[in-house]
Amino acid sequence: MSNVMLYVLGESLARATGKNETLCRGLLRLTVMDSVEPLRQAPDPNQALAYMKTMAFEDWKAVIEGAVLSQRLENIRVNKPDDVVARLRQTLVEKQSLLTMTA
Amino acid sequence: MATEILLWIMILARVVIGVSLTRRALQKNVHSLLWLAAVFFINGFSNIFYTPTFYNGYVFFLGALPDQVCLILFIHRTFYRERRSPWAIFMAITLLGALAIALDFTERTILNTVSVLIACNMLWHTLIAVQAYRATASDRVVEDWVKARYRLMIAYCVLAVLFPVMGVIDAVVDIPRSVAQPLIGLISIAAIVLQYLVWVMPEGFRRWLNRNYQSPVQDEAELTLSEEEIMGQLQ
Repeated sequence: MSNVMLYVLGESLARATGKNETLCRGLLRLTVMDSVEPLRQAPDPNQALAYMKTMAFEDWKAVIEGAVLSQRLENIRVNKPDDVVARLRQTLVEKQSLLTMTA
Repeated sequence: MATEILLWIMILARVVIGVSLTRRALQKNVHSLLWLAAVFFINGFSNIFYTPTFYNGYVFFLGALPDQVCLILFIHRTFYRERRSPWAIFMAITLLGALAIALDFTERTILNTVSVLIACNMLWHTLIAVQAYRATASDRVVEDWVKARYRLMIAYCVLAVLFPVMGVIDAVVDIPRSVAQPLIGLISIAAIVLQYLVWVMPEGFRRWLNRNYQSPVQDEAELTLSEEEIMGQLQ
């Protein structure tokens, strides 16, 4: 089964930044890997994808609002990174039922 | 005899759905499903007291109170985190219903109160499910089986609203038992079948729902992108 929240947030990030959707998903994946302790120490992308399938609403919220994502958005010179974070948060709230409906 | 067998099959179906939801809730860390599992377990248990062998109208109808509390919490936790939720209003309505029952402890009062509670909660459930479905219906990254799950859920919510509506119509028009009972039976069976398909969703059915879906995402290809490639191309 797909990583639907990763895909949905990736799409939202792409729309908010005007960047490529595949790369936005990659950015989110890297952010999760940097934000989660076990993944940080053993950065295996497959492990990250498997972990993301078990992430709850609070986990995604922590990643979106965390310093890691903000820093990465600054690194890629995004205009108004706070607005992008707000947009991602809004997407997470609007589509939160997907976390239940895809279980 | 046939009615009793059918009722027991439906009780068993509810238990199976409850067990499936519980397993998935724990395996996939989706704790809101535990509230929904509780709805099916309580419903299954109270329906034992609707069977001719164990009939007890008080237990059967009163079982709807904890059932509806769990449903309110499921809806709140699934659809309303970080947003304003009317769950407290529906909880207050349920408490008022419990008070009304306590003040007039008759089968008729319990039935009327429970009918109102179910109508309110299932109408709310229907509306929020439609809203959530609309938010994802055009998302190409959301698979077809997920969208179908929303639609089937909306369908059984609408059926569940029909029960209290029929109760009201019956009170006004006095539908003959020979019409009402088979109708209620059909609606109950349809609702349970839909609930089973939604929440147990046999793998073959899920694959059939998804038969035309082409994912725009290729996980394997994307995993080969290194951090340097991703960050480099994004800058």
